[in-house]
Amino acid sequence: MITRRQLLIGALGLGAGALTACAPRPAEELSTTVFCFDTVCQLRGAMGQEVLDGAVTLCERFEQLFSRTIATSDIARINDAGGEPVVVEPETSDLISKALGYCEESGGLFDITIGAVSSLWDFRNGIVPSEEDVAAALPHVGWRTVHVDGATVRLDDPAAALDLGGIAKGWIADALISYLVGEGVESACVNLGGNVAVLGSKPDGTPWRVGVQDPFAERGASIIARTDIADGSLVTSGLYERAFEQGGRRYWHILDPRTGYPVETDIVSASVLSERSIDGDGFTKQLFFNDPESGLADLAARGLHGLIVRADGTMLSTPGAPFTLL
Amino acid sequence: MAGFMKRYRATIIAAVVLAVLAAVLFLLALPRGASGRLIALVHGGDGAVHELPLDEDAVLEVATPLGTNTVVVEGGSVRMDAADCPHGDCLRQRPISRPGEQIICLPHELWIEIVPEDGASSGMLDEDAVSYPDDVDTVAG
Repeated sequence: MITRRQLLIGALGLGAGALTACAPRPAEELSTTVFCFDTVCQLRGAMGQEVLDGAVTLCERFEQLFSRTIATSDIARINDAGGEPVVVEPETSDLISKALGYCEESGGLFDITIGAVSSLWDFRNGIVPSEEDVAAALPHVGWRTVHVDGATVRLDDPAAALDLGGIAKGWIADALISYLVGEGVESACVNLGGNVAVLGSKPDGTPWRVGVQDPFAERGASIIARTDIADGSLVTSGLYERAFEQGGRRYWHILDPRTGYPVETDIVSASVLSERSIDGDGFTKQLFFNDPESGLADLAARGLHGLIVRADGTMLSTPGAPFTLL
Repeated sequence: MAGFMKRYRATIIAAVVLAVLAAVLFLLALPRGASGRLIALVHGGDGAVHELPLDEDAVLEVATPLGTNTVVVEGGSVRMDAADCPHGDCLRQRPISRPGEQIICLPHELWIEIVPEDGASSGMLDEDAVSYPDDVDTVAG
């Protein structure tokens, strides 16, 4: 026999339970923002603190390995080796091997030995190198001088210098996603200064909604397009990044390996939607060297999607590209 | 009366507990300070905190050894108007006007948060509180 009191206490418990159930059950979603790779990196997703901390530690490791300006990095040691072979970490040899693939595919328009020239430019402080310095450095740009043999990397040309700035973030984004997959994470978003890679959908099951920076907004708070991604990457390169004006001429950070000067183009922003972020990084830069139509046709032939914004504001994309233009 | 109280004691206790529980949940659900004046707290990289009421248009330049940011309050919202940080990520964040929203300039260790006039700082950077345009989760480029 249930007493009235037991009944009431039971009802009370049920009522409280029902009220609690009304509140949405918070998914364990963590996020962090770190300054790495000369930019702001955001990591978020449904994961434990230890896994997130592990991702940050990886970022720090990759920075120590790949930064051209950290004297002890693998890249700096290769550049300073005077053409001697240098034993590097497996991540570095993997990054360089994959990067060389994009150099070859682009016919040298993307070149990781741009370091001899890029080190002369200072886009942050608006410094244009002298014509003589550029001319002297240009012969040392040539990706065929790079040789990767297992864990050893060698530059045939002692004056050549690697600069992986155009590809490392894509590789790192993929590496972070692989790490998260290995840790059993099913939902995450990595944004390395504008290189976005996502794992799965958001914790609530909807795809990640990724915007494309408006190249005309002077870093204003506006986007020109967006796309919904579940597993994949969106990389956008824009001439608005680290650009400056001097003597009535505008200089931007994507250098033409044939001239040593910023690439001449009427494209102001190029985005690539791909499965792997390294493809996004490797192929966006190439778009600036082509006319938009053939660049996008090339992307489509590779099974990738792209979006190009020209200086006159017109936008072009690959057929069927899942971008919502705003 | 005493008999009534005795007979329905458990019922009354249950009713009171439920009422208190409901009141607490209701208060927790209320947006704090939603009806009051809102303030943008600008936390500078040097530890200084500047208060900018959102109902007064203003321009604030925060210069610290880490760099300079220009914060503008206009039309009831606050935005990062200029910054000499390396990548300008703070400039890409949407103007904010609601309690709890933030704009973060990590390289300069500067962050802005919206709080009610009588509300305290959340005391922490919250990347999830950063809002991007058109409700996207993140921005490429």
